[in-house]
Amino acid sequence: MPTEQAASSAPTGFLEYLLNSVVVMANDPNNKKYYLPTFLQGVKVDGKSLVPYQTEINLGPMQNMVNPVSLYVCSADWSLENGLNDGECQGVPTFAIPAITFDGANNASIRSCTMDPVNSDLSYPVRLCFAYGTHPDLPPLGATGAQFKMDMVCHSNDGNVTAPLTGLGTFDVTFTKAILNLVLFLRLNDDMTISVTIPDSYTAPGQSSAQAGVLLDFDAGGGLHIGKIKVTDAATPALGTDYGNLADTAFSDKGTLASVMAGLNQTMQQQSVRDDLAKAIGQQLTALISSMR
Amino acid sequence: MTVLNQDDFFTQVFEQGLSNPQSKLYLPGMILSSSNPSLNPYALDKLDLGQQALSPGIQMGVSLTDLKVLGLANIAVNPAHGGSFVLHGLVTDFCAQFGQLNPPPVGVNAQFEMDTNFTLDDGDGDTTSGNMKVKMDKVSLTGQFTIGGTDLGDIEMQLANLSVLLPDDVKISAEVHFDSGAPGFNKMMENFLEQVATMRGILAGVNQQLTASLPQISADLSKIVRADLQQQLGM
Repeated sequence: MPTEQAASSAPTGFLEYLLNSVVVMANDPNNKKYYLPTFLQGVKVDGKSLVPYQTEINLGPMQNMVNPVSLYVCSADWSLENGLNDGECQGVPTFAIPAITFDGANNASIRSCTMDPVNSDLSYPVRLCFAYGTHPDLPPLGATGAQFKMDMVCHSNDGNVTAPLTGLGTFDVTFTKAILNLVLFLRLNDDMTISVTIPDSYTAPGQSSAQAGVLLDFDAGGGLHIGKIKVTDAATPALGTDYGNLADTAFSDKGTLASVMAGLNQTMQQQSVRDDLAKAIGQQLTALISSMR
Repeated sequence: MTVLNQDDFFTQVFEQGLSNPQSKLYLPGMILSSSNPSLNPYALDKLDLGQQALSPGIQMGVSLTDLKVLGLANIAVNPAHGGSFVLHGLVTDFCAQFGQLNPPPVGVNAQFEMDTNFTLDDGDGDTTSGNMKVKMDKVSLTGQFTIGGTDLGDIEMQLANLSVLLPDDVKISAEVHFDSGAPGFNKMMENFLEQVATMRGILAGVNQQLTASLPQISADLSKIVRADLQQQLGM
């Protein structure tokens, strides 16, 4: 059973009543039809299954994240390998995560569901908060063996020798106290279907700033942790050690972790992903309506 | 495709559910499932109509016993059958029509009918008894209920009122049999019963009893709807 009880408000109309029911059913492991992990298991976004979810994240240049000593050591090792003196690595490494597969994207329960006053176009805004990691029988949200790729340019002092260096490795990602905030616009159609859209952004009543339609975030005290960093490809063992040190520094930096989150959110906030998720939710709600009539 | 507000949308959802024989919310099905009190038939032990003018110059005390109201499960709320069902927030006003489903549900009277024993008292200690069956078309059931609870798992149907009504142009057909003698009074009694005012008087007593039973009917209906929805939705 989920460890959290979803907040349900005293409904004033039947749509709220129905949404309260959805929360109860989604959080009930005994409900074969509407249990949230089962529903999420079947969702596809951008043609890809949500469970497990494969994606890539480009972190770009890792400014202010690199230990100067590690860079110097890297360039020193590169120099030695190339028979040069005093070589240097230019700029800062560029990090990319070319492949990462997340598990546990369905290990979630609905923490809260709030319906706001109807919009002028008769769409009903609904703000949902999902809490991750609430089902001990499911894998936690995270990834193992994700790939990282590190690129930098090294050159000799006289400029005659220039070479790109690439390091490849793997790492694990764990999320602690992750939450997903989702905004839905529900439209009730005269053919007894419910259409759902997820807006790019939404300003709830009483709030001064807009929130993203989809946002992966953390509760207080929660966060993202990258560990088990392992270099799998380097030109030499010495460079491999250097890459490992660079990666350790980069992945323990708060800015890097924020970039990873930003990259994930950028993926989730793509129109195609929002559209696919909204369509799946709309179909589920329409099925619920059908079963009532 | 038109976008609806939630009241209009769910009005249609429920109207369809209440009218769909395959739906767990099918109204005749719920009426047939009711057991506290049973609504097929609905029984009243006794109903005293007081002094009634059975015909000009003939006043008698009329009391009914073992009254049974049949055909309550031949009922429809959709506009095609002359009914209505409107949801405002969590309050629903409805008007259901009896006798409109053809064929009626299995085991249910095609028409709204009352079958009752009666006793006439002339005020001088003489009484005479018999049985009467009265059939009516165009009988409607109006009412209002509020949906209580916070979700479908603990839904409560709280009836605020429930009344059986007759329009002015209702067709009433009565059949009377006295226990002994008085064959000439059959026609007199039938004429008396076939007046709208008479039947409204009788139904006023039925409605009073329905009003007194609203808490039990609400509780029973709530239980039926909860069980049906829980089965349908896996709650």
